[in-house]
Formats: sequence, C-alpha cells, structure tokens
Amino acid sequence: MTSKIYDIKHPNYAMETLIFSGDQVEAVYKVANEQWLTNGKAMPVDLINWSYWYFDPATDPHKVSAEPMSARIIRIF
Amino acid sequence: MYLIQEGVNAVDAAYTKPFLNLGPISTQALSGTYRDLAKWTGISLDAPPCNKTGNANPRFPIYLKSYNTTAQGLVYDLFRQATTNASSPFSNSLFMFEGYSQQGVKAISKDATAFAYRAENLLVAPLLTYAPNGPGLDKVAFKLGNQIRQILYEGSGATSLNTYVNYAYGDETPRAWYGSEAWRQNRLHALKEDFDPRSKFSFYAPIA
Repeated sequence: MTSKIYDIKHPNYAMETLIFSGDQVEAVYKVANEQWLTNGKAMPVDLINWSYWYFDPATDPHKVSAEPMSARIIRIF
Repeated sequence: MYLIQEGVNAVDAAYTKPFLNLGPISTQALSGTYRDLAKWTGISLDAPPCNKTGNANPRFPIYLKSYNTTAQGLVYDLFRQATTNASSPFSNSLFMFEGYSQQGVKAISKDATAFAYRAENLLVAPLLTYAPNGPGLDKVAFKLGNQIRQILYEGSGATSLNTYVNYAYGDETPRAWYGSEAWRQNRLHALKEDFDPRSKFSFYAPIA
C-alpha cells in the first residue's frame, strides 16, 4: 500500500450562504440541476454546494402567527 | 444553500447569480481558509451535531445523480410536518444535501477500485434528531426516515438503493453499502476472506 500527502494549492476559500423560503424548494433544486447535474453538466472543480433544511423559529417572522404549518416555516440554508 | 469555492476570496458571480435570481430571503458572504469550512457549515467540534447530548441522530442516506424536483417537494412536506408539528420529537432534525466537485472521482473507471458510487453526484440524508424514549419512538423515526428515503429512491429512477456507508442507518444491505454489481460483491467477499477470514472486523456494516 502506498499513500501520498499533497501540498495545498489553494488555502483560501469563500462561501456564500443563500437562505430561501420553503415555497422555493422546487425552484432552487431545478436551478441546481440546470447548473451542474443534468444535460451533460458537471460540478466545477472549484465548487462545493451543500444545502440544509431545518426548522428555524428564531428567525421566522411568522412564528407567532396563526400559520405554524405554513411552507414559510422551514428555511433552506 | 451554501456555495463554497476554493481559491478565491469571494464566490464567483457566475455561480451565485442563477440562485440570486430566485430571490433569496437573505445572503451572507464569508472569506477565509479551508480551516474555516467546518465551522461555516455547522460541523466543527463544538457544533451541536458533533457533541454527545444524549440525543439519537439516525441518518437515512441515499446517493443521487440529480435532484427530482417533485420528490424534493414531497420530502420537504414530510420533513416540514415532522419538524414543525407542535408535539413532534424531531423538531431539531436536519436534512442534508451534499454536492461535491466530482470530475476527479469520475476520471477513474468504476471497476478500478472498491468504491462503487463514482457515477453519483449527490449525498442526501435526513438526520432525525430526538431524545430517545424507548423502542416505540425509535420505530417512528425509522419509519419516517425510510419513508423519506423511499420517495427519493423512487424519484431517482435507480434500480438499486445506493447508500453512503458512514451515514447508514445500519440495516441496509452490503449491496446498498458497497455496490450491487455481482462482480464487485464477489471481489469484496474474496478480499474479506483473505484479510479477515475469522470475521473479526464485522461490528458495523461488514462487507461480508
């Protein structure tokens, strides 16, 4: 068995976080498909894309409204 | 949505613009080094998912080639109900979608090494976080996690369930963890016999 440690070529990284409301879920992933995943596209070598879904009542202005089941409640981080 | 770019101090507009056009609620830009990535994405050593809190944290992973937007909408509704219902034990759960640069992964043929999932692009998994309360609640979590994964599987058009072994719930099959091709299973069985004939290393997700 052999192993190799590679030198770091690019130590710097940047991250952009975009937060969407839940009613955008299909639109967001349609764009992800179009940019990177379908029709012969490939993820660029310098890019990583993660997304998280979680319930975030602290930042939700509708938390105390009468619509706790609203699609706005979960954010797409 | 996290757009993370190597070798720059700001993410290229070409990467962000198609998503900005959808009108996000908010945006935030960060700049640093690879040492900051775990903290930025909530998985540093002091982050909640990395600490022993007494919570159960089962995941139900599946590899995908692309997003089925209809399936995304269906699992979103399920996950929203599971996390926002007033009496839900799963309100702190997290649904993870991981997409990496795969060109180097795909540059090696799928039969060259043990890794079976070079054709896949996305690692997707609901992480159901809850305070354990006996086998009844474990069963509810198991059922919900599998229901979500089944929707994604059916939407993928795949003919075998492909799962990331390090996220696996544990009851998936060796074919799901390590690849369903017969030749791959035969090869792995032969290697297991060579290196571990007494099956001493079989605590979790053994290859045979």
